[in-house]
Formats: sequence, C-alpha cells, structure tokens
Amino acid sequence: MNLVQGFARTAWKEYRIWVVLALLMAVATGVSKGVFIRSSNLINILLLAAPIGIAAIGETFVVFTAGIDLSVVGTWIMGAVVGGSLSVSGSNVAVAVLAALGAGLVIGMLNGSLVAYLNIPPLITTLGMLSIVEGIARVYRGNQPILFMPRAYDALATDYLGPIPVQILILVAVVLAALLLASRSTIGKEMYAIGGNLIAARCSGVRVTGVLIATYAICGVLAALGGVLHSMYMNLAVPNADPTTLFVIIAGVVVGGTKLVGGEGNVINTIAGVLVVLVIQNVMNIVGISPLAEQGVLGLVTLIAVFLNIGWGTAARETPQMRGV
Amino acid sequence: MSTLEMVDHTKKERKANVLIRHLNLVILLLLIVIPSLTNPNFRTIQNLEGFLQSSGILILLAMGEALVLLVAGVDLSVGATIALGSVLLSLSIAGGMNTILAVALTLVAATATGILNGVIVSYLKIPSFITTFGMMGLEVSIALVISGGNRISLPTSSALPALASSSVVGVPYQIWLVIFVVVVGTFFLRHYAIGRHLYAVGSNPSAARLSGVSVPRTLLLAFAGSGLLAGLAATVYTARIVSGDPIAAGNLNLQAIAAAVIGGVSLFGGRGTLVGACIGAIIYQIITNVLNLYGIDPNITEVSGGLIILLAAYANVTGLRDNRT
Repeated sequence: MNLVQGFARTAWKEYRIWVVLALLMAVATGVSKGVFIRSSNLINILLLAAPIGIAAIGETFVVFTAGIDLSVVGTWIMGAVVGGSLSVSGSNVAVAVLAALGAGLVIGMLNGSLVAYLNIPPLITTLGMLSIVEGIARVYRGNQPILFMPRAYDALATDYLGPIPVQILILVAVVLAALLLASRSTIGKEMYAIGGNLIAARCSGVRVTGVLIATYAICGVLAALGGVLHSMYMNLAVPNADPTTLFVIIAGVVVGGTKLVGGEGNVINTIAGVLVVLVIQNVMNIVGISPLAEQGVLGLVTLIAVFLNIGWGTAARETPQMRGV
Repeated sequence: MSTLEMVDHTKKERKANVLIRHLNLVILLLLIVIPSLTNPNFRTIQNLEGFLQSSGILILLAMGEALVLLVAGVDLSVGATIALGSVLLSLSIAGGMNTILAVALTLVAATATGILNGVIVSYLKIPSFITTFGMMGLEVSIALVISGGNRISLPTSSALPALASSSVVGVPYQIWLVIFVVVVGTFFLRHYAIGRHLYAVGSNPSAARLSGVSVPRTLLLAFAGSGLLAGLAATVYTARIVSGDPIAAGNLNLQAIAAAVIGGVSLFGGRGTLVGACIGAIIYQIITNVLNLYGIDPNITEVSGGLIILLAAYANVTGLRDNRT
C-alpha cells in the first residue's frame, strides 16, 4: 500500500466522525427542507456548541484516564451561579469569571483527590459530588434563578469580533490548548498512560495522583467555563442541574470516538461528536419532534455510538479500574 | 469466612471484630436510639408510620441495586424505571384496566427494561454505567412522551391507593411487601445456583466462566432482577402519590446505590446481601427523616446524601467491614 493510501486509511480511521458529521448535515438539510442550512441556524448551533464543546473537552481528558465525570453538569451550573451572582452584585466581569473558574477548579480538585487518594471509583465520586454541588448551589441561591445579568458580563458570549463570535474564539483557544496538552505535553501522555494501563503507568514513573487531580481539575475549570458562557448567552443562571446537558456532554465525548475504557482518543473528535449531537437535536426541533423525546434520542445515540466504537462482541479491555463500577 | 479467623486474637480484638462486622446493625441501633431520646417528634406514631410508608421504595430499589452491584455493575436507570412504570400503571388503570392486570403489566415492562439492560451489558459488552445511563434517558423520554409530560391521576375509584395506605396487623402493606421480597429473595439466592453465580461473577468473572458459570446469563438475571424490583417500587410509588409521575426523582439512583453500599454491598462486586441492602436503606431513610425533623433545608439533605455516599464508598473501598487491614 503506498503512502497516500496508508495516509488516507489512518486519517479515515482516526477522523471518520467528521465525515459522519458532514453526511449528517447533508441529511439534515434534506429532512428540514433547507431550514437547517440557513446561516442563522448554523450560527445558533455553533453558539450552543461552544460552551458544551468546552465542557466536553474537559470530560474527554477524564475519559482518557479511564474515568468518568458525572458532576460536570453540577460544576457547569455552579460556575454560572457564581459568575452570575457576582456580576449582578456589581463585580467586574473579569473577577466574576475568574471566581466561577475558581469554583470549577475547587470542585475538580476535590473530585480528583477523592479518586486519586481515596481510590473511590470515579463514577461514585462524581455522582456524589453532583448531589453535593447542586445542593450547595441551590442553598446559595435559595432555589432562585439569576436573571438580568449586566450587558457587560454577557458580552463575552454575545459579542462578535468582526464576523466571528467571541465564544467561538474562546472555543478555538481552548481546543488548541487542549490539543497541545494532549499530544505534546508530558501530562497528556501520562493521562493516556493511566487510562491504558494503570499499573504499568505507575511502574513507569507516571505521577498518577498528581495527574489524576490535574485531569479532574481541568475538567472542572472547563465545565465551569462552559456553564458561564452558556448562562451569559441565555442571560440566565439556574441552580438546577439539567440532565439533558449532561447527556449532551457525555454523548459528545462518546460519539467523538473516545473509548470509555480510556487510554486513547482525540480531543478534536469530541468537538465533532458534540456537533453531531447538537445537529441531531437541532433537526429534531426543526422537524417538530417533541422535546420530550430529547433525552431518549440522546440516550439511544450514546448507546449506538458506544457500541460502534467498541466493536461487535469485542470484550472491553479489562483494566484494573474496570473492576467494579 | 477465612481460616485467618482462627488466629489468636485477644479478647478485646475479638469484641472489636464483632462490632465491626455488625457495624451496620450498630449504626442502625444508634440511629434509632439517639434521635428517640433527643427529639420528641421522632418517637411519635405518626413519624413511624410516615417513615414506614415512605421507606418501602428505597428499600426495594436498594435491593435491586444490590443485585447489580454484586456482579460488579451499576444500574443508573432505576429512577427512570420508576417513572416509566408509574406512568404505565396509572395510564392503564385510568384507561379502565383491572388493577391486578395493570400491576402485572407494569412489572413485566419494568423487568423488560432490566432485561434490555442485561442484554446490552452481557452480550454487547457495553459497560453497565453507560448502558444504564443511556437507558435512563430512553425510559425518561418514553415516560414523558406517553404521558404528554403530565402527571396522570389515578381515578378515585381505584383500589390501589387504599391498598398502599392500609395496614395488616398495624404494619403497612408496603412493609409486608418488602419483608416478602427479602425473605423470598434471600431464600431464592441461597438455595438456587443463581445466587452463588452472582457472587462468583462479581468476584472473578474469568474464574466463574472457567467453572462453567454462564456469565452473560448471570448478568442478564441480575439486571432483570433490578428491573423487577424497580417495577415493584414503581407500583408502591404510584399508589403513594395516587398518580403517575413521569419525572419521578432522579436522585433515587444515587440514594439506592448509597443505601446498598451502606448496607455492605461492595462496589467492586462479589460481596453483600439483600438484607444488608435493606438495612442500608433504612439507615439512609432514618438520616433523612431526622434531618427533616430538625427542619434542615432539603437542599442540605441532598448535600448530605452525596456526603453519605462518599463516606460509604470510602469505607467500602478500604474494606472496613470485612476485617481486612
């Protein structure tokens, strides 16, 4: 097989989700009788995709380490609530956003510490943290949503730099940083190593506890950033964790091809995965399928994606982390 | 139990061992005694009645979750199964179906979702947490779609609510149901091979397979059992709220897992009992009940739920309960 063929084959294997996305968009255009492809619709999708994509990138890192973070939606709303309430009470934008990211950092580090030091399975840890974070957010806000945040605060999500929305620029920056982290940095390689074979990684000198804490911390910060941007765009911050958001984030990671057993995967593909999921949601909306069916479709998409990625009948590689939940 | 027990312990160590092995019962005892002494509201008949009425659901769910945890899996769809079962049940009864038939239909449907979970986990080899996560979305959507997003009230002539609130010999019907399930379940697991198979698959799937245990079938039965118990819980739930609720609490998943873990069921499989899960559920309910009585903000109760599961998971992971150092 010559060089071009080999290259094409590897490229297909690695990035085929983008081809799926393109095909899906074509189908969507047809099904929606052209409504889908209108630039206003596409921009809408991108503006929704940016915050979710950012959070999904964080989740991808966690999945690299063969973990899972179900508390991202909790961190998402916590970031929104912290940033929103600070901005409403007069703080300047930078302070509010940094505080929100700080909250995300703290939550992430807690998650990481519980997983790394106490060896509690990530599923249980993050499930517990989700309850805790959501409860704290609700108590903090007395169950009240935050409305009417100052225009200056919302600017980050609603303004354009020339023809490009600022949100997208932020997304691009995050993606670039993530790519660098995943492929060029030591930490990135250590993340893959932990997910691939924890024991081997430990024996090879990988700083497991440090990297795990860092991974969940990054996930927390990015989830908070996503939540902040989303709340800015909606001009609304609610202290209730929306299960659909969690579904979209996880579905995005899974559809993007990152395997749940960890050790492999691609940050760029997660973006494609998120876009696929949002396109499906968008088409459902346009065509008029009841929003009540949303979670079901997302669940189905997740299952199909996981199944396709694992391959027919191949037993998931049993890593030490996989004993138990 | 191992032969290590024959090692000579001092009398003090032996006493401590007994205490730790029955830690659950000790905690339960303390939880009953202390609030009774310190809070006059706790020891009223109304409180006890209310408590017995409302704990049936969690106990049933915890037992179902225990079955799945025994095989080193997790079932995140039980809350959704309750929602779906509840909607099915009330729609059937409201549509004129005989109550007994409607209940039977609900149980069959719930078990079917469990079987579906089991099939995906055992034959498609998809990890149980993402399977049940996806199924949760599907079930919620189906419940929402067939109910139109609304609660379905049971007709006033229905016998079901009356059944739920009445008692035999002073003990509510639900508790008799729970006792029945515990007795039958424990007997069944102890005297039929499937019981031992559950423990075998949970502790060491490869060894189990090599010993002739059908691992896929065991997994299937575990998830089916979880579905069946969720169906029973759905029936109790519907009777209690006299309607079908498509958005039944999603928190129940976490609570069920927490209850089972508190009750000694190991997160890594192979260890635990139905009775233990029962006790765990009761402990969890008492804690919630006491917090309620003291007028604590329900959001804080949610936070404490998360903390409890983290604590219980930590105890689980460090093998606190089985004397291993």
